[in-house]
Amino acid sequence: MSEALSAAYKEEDRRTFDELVHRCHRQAYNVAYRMTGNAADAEDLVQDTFLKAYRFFGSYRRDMPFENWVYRIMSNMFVDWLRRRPKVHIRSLDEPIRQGEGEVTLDLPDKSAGPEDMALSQELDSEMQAALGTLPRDFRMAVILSDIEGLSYEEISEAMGCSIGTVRSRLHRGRRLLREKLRPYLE
Amino acid sequence: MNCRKVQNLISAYADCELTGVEMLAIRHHLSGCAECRHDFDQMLQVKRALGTLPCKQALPDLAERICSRLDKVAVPAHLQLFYLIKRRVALPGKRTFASVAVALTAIFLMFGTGGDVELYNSGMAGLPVMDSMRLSGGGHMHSLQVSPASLVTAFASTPLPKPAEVNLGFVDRVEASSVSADGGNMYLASFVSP
Repeated sequence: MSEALSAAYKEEDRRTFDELVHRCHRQAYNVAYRMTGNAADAEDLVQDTFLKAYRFFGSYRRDMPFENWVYRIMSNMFVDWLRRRPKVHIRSLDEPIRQGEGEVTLDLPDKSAGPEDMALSQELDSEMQAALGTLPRDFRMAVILSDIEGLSYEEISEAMGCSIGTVRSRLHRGRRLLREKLRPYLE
Repeated sequence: MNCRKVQNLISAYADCELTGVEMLAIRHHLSGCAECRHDFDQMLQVKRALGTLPCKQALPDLAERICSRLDKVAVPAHLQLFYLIKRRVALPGKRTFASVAVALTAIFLMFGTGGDVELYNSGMAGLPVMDSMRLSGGGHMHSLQVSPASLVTAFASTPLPKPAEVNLGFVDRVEASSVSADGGNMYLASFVSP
């Protein structure tokens, strides 16, 4: 029975899923990169996300854009991914670090001495990525989906499984935090 | 609209995700408030800078590598069956108690007995079969039936969607069943022993 069942299941879903992977993987990788901050982890996250999506492909509602469904899985996978990687400590740059009896605070380097009209460059890319990495996970995902992927609030709420009001709040707070981190670059 | 309110909405304003009235009120406020205007300009700069970040390129063979790993993904048999049944039982609505109850009953039968499952779906029209699926394999022969509405209504008082012991009268013995409702339709999934 199980072989016949597997054959029927795979026949129906596999071809469709392969096409969706080819269509969406670049976009998914970009989001994963912006979430994780580096290529190796982004690739792992994308692969794990699609494998999990395939496992639960039968529960995918066809009236929802596939990309949004993948983002939702990726968002949840990212939490697991962080838990599985205890050696990576995600820390807010504002969070004081205890050292003995004293505390020190990390900060982004002050770029105010740099050229004011700095074009978007590799350096700014790195700084923005670093700033993104300091955002709480939900804020980061909302900002990435809105400002990098161009999703509407409604689409983000679908992808993140939350209300539009929550999306609005996460974006607002996420951008405010980003603005503080990037203030040296802002006019 | 005061500065505090404007600054709370400034991000959504930048995304044009407010009502027309709110958009106009904020636009009016910004034209006369330098502080909020500055706040808005910086918010826009952040938003635009994010929008111009280069798209990170995956290695060219990433899709192929993902697809090659799909063969090794073990989709549990009960999920495969659940999905197949759910797809074939064309019930109204997106995710109904009815489809879940029917599929869960089928899964229970499949794994509880090791036998075959035959699924019928019928609606209010009264005809007994609108769609059917049969999964064959070894073991015993069982059937899973969804009765016409005229029969189902007799069990309208059955707790929903909990399985309940019922006797349909036209079969010898019913060992497990579930009744569920969806809008104007009701469905009965029952397991009939051989």
